[in-house]
Amino acid sequence: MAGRLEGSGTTTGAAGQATVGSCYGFGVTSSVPLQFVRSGSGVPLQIAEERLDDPPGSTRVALFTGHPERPFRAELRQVGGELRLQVNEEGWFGIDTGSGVVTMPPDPDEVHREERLWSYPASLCLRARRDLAVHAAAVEVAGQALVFVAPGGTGKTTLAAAFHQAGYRVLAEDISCCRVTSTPVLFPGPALLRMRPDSAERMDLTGTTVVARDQWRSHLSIDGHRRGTGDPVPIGGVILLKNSEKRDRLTPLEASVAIRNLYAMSFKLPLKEDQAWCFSEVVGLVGAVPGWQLERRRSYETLPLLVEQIVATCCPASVPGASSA
Amino acid sequence: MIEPDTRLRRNSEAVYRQLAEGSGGVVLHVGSAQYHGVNEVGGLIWSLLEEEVTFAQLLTSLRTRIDDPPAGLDEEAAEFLEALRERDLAQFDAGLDE
Repeated sequence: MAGRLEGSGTTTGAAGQATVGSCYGFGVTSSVPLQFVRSGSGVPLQIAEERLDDPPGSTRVALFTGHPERPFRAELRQVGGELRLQVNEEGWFGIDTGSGVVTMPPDPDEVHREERLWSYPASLCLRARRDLAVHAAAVEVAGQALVFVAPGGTGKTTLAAAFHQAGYRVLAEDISCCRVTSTPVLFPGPALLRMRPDSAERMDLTGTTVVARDQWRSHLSIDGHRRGTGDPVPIGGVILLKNSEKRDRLTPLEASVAIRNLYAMSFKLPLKEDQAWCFSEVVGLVGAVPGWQLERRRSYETLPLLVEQIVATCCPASVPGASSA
Repeated sequence: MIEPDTRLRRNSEAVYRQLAEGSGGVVLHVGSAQYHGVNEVGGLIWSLLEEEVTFAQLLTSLRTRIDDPPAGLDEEAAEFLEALRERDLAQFDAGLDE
């Protein structure tokens, strides 16, 4: 079927070797092992490991906090031209966007640390590159990216996993990197899925490997032959997810609703120029690609049918005999 | 309540972006993320707020730019401006003096 994966490997290295691969459009080299990069190249980004401190004279740029039920605290500070980020007192990341270097703190939990790497530190690098980082999952259908925008807990990873189960490629599961032009593209993110353990057990996730488990999530690495490359994929549509008690329903999305939600779900610093830039990018994205709202029941049984419905509605050209009207 | 001599202006924290032709635009307060979708007439009013104007001046300008203005234009413009003020996207003279 068009849009489903052909085999493609990554070049993830063993411990102590340089890792070369692609993530979010970066060509990544690393002195420590990384599990989730894809094959391919991009703008150079070097990953290193070093224990950093918050140096004297640094200034706070932003403080990000999570939902009370899932405590989260990320502090972003600036010293000279470099940013320092600490999440939950777990050690400081150094982010030098000018040189394209991200320094990670030593951490025996390499999976956890890499997941951190591809969240806020990567989003800061994308911001410096003037690409939009959106809290969204994305999958590839018929050579186009469908972007599922939703806050945490709305089931976007479960939906992305359902597409994986149906043979489609998962491009991102939490943060989607969008480059907004007249034909916007998405740069594939880390090849992982993080799901509630009971969700992971109820789905056929052949083509993934469980690399870690904790009380909240099973952490799955997408196997090499299901990853594909890090090459950009044209964005075919944006789908806003909303939970529903009644039924699954996919309807066209008003531009103003799309903009409001995409802006809320986009990564930006609390700086006027950053927010204005982000707003412009969001408006540009909404103006360039179609949007839908998906009201979805939290039902595993209907997921395969829902995937078919989304494909038929959002990518009708990929369905033999389907009308494109 | 907007009076004819009420002075109006945009909040400098507000950003406007035009959508596709015929689809109006959107205004965002970048500090608070308060947001307002506007139709084409709303976009026109927004453009007239580039410089501080009184409500009377704004209505005069608006009428010259709209073919066959509706009877309730004044009230609709006032409602729209109030909606902008509620979201801190526009400021009235009372607000400026505070």
